[in-house]
Amino acid sequence: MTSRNPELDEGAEAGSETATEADADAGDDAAVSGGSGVETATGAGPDGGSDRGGDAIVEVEELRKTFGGIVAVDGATFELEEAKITGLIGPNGAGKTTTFNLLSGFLQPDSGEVRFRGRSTSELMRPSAAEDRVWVTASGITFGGVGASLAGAAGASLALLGGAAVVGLGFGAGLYYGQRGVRERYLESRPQRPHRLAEHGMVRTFQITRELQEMTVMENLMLGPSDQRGENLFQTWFRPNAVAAQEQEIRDRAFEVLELLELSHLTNEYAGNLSGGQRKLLELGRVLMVDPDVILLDEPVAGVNPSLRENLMDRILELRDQGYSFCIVEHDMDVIMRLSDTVIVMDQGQVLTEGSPEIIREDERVIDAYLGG
Amino acid sequence: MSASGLLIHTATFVAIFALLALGLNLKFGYAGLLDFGHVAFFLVGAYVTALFVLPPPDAYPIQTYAFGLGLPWSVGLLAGTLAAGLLGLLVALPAIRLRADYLAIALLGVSVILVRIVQTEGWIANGPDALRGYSRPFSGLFPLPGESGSAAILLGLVVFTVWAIVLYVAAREAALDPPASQKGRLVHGVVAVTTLGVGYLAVRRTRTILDAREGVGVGPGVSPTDQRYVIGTALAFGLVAMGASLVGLGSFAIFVFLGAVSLAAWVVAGIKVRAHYREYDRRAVVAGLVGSVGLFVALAPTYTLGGLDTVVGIVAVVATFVLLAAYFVGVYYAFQNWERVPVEGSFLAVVGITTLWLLAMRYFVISIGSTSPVAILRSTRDNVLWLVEFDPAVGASFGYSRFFFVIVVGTVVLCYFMMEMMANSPYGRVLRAIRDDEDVALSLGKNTFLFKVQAMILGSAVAGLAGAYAAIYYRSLGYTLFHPLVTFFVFLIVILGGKGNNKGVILGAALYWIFVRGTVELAAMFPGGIGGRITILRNAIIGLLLILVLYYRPAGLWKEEPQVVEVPDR
Amino acid sequence: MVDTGLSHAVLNGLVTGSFIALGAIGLSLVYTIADVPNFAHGELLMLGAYFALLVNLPGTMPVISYVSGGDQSVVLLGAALLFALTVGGTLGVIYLLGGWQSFRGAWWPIDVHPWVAIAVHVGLALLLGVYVATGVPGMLPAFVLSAVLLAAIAPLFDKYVFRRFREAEASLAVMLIAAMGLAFFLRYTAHATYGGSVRRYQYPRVRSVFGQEINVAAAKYFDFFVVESGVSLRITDTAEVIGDPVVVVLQYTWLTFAVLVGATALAAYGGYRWRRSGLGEHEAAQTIGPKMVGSLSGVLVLVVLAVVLAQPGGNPDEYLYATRIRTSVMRLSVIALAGALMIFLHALLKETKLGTAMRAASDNLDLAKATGIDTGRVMMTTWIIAGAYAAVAGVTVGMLFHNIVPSMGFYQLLPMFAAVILGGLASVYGAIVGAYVVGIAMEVGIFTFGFGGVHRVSMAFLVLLIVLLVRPEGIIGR
Ligand SMILES: Nc1ncnc2c1ncn2[C@@H]1O[C@H](COP(=O)(O)OP(=O)(O)OP(=O)(O)O)[C@@H](O)[C@H]1O
Ligand SMILES: [Mg+2]
Repeated sequence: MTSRNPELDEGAEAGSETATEADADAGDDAAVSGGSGVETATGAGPDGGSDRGGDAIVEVEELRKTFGGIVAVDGATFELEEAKITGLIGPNGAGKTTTFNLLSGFLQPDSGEVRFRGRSTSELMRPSAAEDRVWVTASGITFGGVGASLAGAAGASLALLGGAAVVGLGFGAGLYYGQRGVRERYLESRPQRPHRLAEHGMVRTFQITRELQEMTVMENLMLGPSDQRGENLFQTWFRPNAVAAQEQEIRDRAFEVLELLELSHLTNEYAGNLSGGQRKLLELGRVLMVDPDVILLDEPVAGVNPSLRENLMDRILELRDQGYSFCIVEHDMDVIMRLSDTVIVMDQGQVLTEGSPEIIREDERVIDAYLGG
Repeated sequence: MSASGLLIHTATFVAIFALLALGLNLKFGYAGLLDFGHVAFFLVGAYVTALFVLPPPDAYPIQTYAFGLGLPWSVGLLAGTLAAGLLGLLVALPAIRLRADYLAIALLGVSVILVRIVQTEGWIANGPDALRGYSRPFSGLFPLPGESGSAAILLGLVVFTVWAIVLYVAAREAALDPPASQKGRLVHGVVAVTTLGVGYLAVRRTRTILDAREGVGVGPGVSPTDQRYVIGTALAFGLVAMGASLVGLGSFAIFVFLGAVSLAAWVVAGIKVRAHYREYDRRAVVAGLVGSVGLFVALAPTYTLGGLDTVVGIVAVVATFVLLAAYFVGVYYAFQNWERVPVEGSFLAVVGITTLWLLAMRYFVISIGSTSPVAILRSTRDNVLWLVEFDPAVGASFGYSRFFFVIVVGTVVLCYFMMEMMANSPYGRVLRAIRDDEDVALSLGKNTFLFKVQAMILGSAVAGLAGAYAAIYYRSLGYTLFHPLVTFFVFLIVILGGKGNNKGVILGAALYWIFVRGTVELAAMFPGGIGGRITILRNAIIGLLLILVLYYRPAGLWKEEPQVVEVPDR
Repeated sequence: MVDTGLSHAVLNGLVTGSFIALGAIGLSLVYTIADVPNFAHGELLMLGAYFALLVNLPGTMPVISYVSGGDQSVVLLGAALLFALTVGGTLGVIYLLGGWQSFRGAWWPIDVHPWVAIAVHVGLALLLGVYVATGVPGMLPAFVLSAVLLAAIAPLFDKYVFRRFREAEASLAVMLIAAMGLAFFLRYTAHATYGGSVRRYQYPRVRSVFGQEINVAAAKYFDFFVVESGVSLRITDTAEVIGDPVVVVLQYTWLTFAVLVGATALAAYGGYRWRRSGLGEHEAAQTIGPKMVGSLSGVLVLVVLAVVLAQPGGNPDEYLYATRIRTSVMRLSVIALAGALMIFLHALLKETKLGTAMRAASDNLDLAKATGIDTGRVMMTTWIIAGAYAAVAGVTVGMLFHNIVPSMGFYQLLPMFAAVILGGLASVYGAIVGAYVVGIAMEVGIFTFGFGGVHRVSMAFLVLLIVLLVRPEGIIGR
């Protein structure tokens, strides 16, 4: 697979995250609590070699989430190791999907923290310093202008005019930070920018498939890769050939994925017309197209026929060997036992136990709670 | 107004509303943003443009407005577009995260407040009265041909624009319709003649391109880069026309270049229609003819006898209503029992054919209005060479309304291409993903907020441009022109034409204005009271249409086209 | 001369809020139960206002004007027409509740012999019919006719339009646009039928209430003064043109004023506690709940004490602060009418099985259906209530603003939507609170900024936009 190139999208408009990534990281470094600190360039895919494995790439600490009275996740603490496959099992309603939602930024934890490569995900999801600067400037200029023109309309002197502008500027800047703080602290039930995690290299699939019904299978897949040239309107309009060339590249990759998933015959079918199992495959394919470092799969092979299931498992193992990290939720024990390097067992929102598949298979509590005695 | 004048008039409205609808289509059709306040951007574009080009307020004591910069129109248009885009940004920043219904109502609120402000705050743009007094761009130079160099340049520009458009479409049609058969060869011969020989080149060239690509299997279209000669030829014609105008042969140039292109446009339109209804046999065509003649027959009594003031007139009105009722009952019956009607093809297609017949008859036959052979000939000439006006003194000339029409259509075409490029690019893909399921786009690392804001800005800017043209076209701006409900006419256009399909949206705009014109003409046939009610009921019917289209044909007349890729054999 | 001030704006806001609430109730019920963001709801108000004209000014309305005698009366045939409309409407409503079975009492909470139910239904219909037919040109019969007709018409929207979209699992956006299409249809059909000219009701301004002749439309001034020794209230009736218009001046020393306030608060709290303690855990959702008991006892004590403790006095010449509320009996009765209808709705929702079913359906329609609730009947009831309440709101708007035009619905729709969204879509109660917030915001807003009445709607939106800005889910939220 081709790895993403962070330079691809240069010339993006001001405020775009990619262009200012280095900037943001530098600014935020002070906030990084411990962890590995130095990190690989965000865009680059894993560069192979299973010998690299072993370090925790995702750390989950005391994660807790309640819905009304239901405690869905209750102080879960575990780690996902780099270049390893971690199985996550547990009875229905154990809180596995909710954990995924918390990991991938689709839900805001009540308490606890998720760290990705040593940096808290809520940190990662916050607007970068550069982005902040853009907004503060814009807001300040707007209100400064409003202040000045109000003063001007009231016939104030030049000095007063300047004063009004400065006050407006301050007000605008304050307003930006104020609303952000209030929003984050009191109002938002879920983070606004989960896409940042995907950009940093952690992508999830959905248990209940969410294919883009009105788009073809091919389009579903081609949506995946990040930082496509053509996502920038300027490039679309004024450098169509470069965009087309990249499209061709992506299309070729998509064909490879389709082949792997045995969906080639459905290339131009609307995703809404696929069967349940095919949707699962598409969901998986889309994530493969993104080419992230950490892949969270929620029941990836549920409803997939046995022979294809074998293929997929082989493929996942292959990817693991190339250095990708996985977390897989699955109810099929054969799959989990064959794939996983480590298995985490959840029950009622808590981590019951964790260990290698062999150990888990023998564990009394797991058998009681889940595997059935 | 002559039939061709009316055509230009209506078509200009179509073009302006097509722009407006293209903007909404970007927001609603692609990004799924339910902008119920689209008209606000139309308003802002119109007023900002007007204020930029108006002279300072002191020069106009009879009306008040905030400022008049007296800048040239090009700056005014740009300012209107940018202002609308900026408003789009300002509105989008807080509102874009709202769920569909909240977003709709919030944006509707914005448009209501804006209209109210324009209405009550007289100092901004002359309060409840209309803002007027700006001259239209280049209006002094018309009618062409003129003596001056600027007139020559304008003529060259017009010739270039229309030729570029018509040739491009002709070339595409040629690509789709290879001249294999006898009939095909004939058609292409006609194209070649009416395009002053260039059509021949078009056919040959596309054949070679397609032959070369045989087997590689890139889709049926021919990309713009393969058609550089289109631009080249249009440019050459434009230059020739300019030169001719400079040496005093302007009238002749107009007759040759614009007359020919009028003809070519008919031919190309004919080919397109034929291609669209290819699979329908002669019966369907006849059925359409019968349907359209039937409608004219039903309307005949009041058309010929008129008036409620005489007994005959009253009888005529009543008879018309009875006949109309019978006609529509008949149509409904045909719809209900469509399998038993001995016509191939869908009901909707036959309705389409009927409409085309109706339009053709209205344009070429009804408009004659005299039985003298000379008058018939003259009127037919005027109707066929619709881009040219014939003035006994000068000969062929080119008036302002046609010039403006060409400019707006040129803009629509440009805008259409940009929208198509956008829609087919990864950008458009992300927008459609957001429309389908925003969470998926988020989970794949797309900054959906940014994409939606961009769509909002862009769609609003296009609406602002439409507003700027509207300012030129209306010549005076009143707040009633921008009533919040106008948004829903645009929604009808988008939904009827087919959301997410730029071609469909333009079709929708055309159908909407044809419908409006139709009801106006229908109303004119009846005495005042009834006629007035007919025009009001038009809006009720529009509401009903909105519901029916949404229910029976939610994808619109022209469905969004799937993006098909060729699967390589491996 | 005392100027009107903030308190006046607030009272006006209560009046405005009242009719917005009547509309918003229907809108929010339909929103939550039928899942329809009903953009055509404003047009229901408009239709209601026009239907009332059938009774009030039959001579000016199409068709019925042929059987009217003069603008404000009808000949026998006209009366028969009105009778038929009312009876037809009433029976239609009952039919909509569940087909012919519902005439036999299927929708009643109690089991009765079918014939009893039929007799009651028919009797009710006839009674209303006679009341309306003989009541020309009174406003009360006008209210009745309008409410009955709309109660019968509104459910048809669901039956013929929205249900189909719901069954086709249309998206929210499609629903919204379809509703807008319906709004267009209604508005312009009404426009074509009734014409675009401004109409207004004609009714006598002087009514006799308990033997007293009261001019209901004339302004009453309530002037509040704060003087050094206490507060005083002066009530002026402008209906009396000749002579001294001052009706009464009530004075309170600071002490009595404190007693007044204290006793009111105490009574309210006491009533609340008393009712609260008398309730078990599960009875909390009673119509006459603690809050209602509390507020009622508070108001009662306030009025009684205000009369008892008042000392007659003259006009204060010097005051520290003065403000005036300008209102009329009619405006106040709008608040009362809305209050009564809200209590009725509250009782319906809390006390009856149908109400329980409605609340269940608003939580989750599919689940309600699965638990054996007749969702069809719930749906119809919802629309019937929405229609009837919208009719009352429409006639009220017509009476208050003397401005019945086909476009009135659209502009009433916007504040109603604002109210429902402010209420967070969670329940009717949220919508009611939202309506009063919007109403007060509108009036206080145009008072503070000194805008003309045109900007009422803009004010409602400003509030909405601000709320959505900070809290995209509405005030109460889901
Ligand atoms: N959005 C929500 N609102 C309310 N409760 C929720 C929500 N999401 C999850 N829950 C509750 O949280 C608990 C955990 O659910 P979760 O989906 O995480 O389970 P799971 O382990 O993925 O189960 P399964 O194996 O069946 O997929 C369940 O009791 C569920 O009812
Ligand atoms: Mg799950």
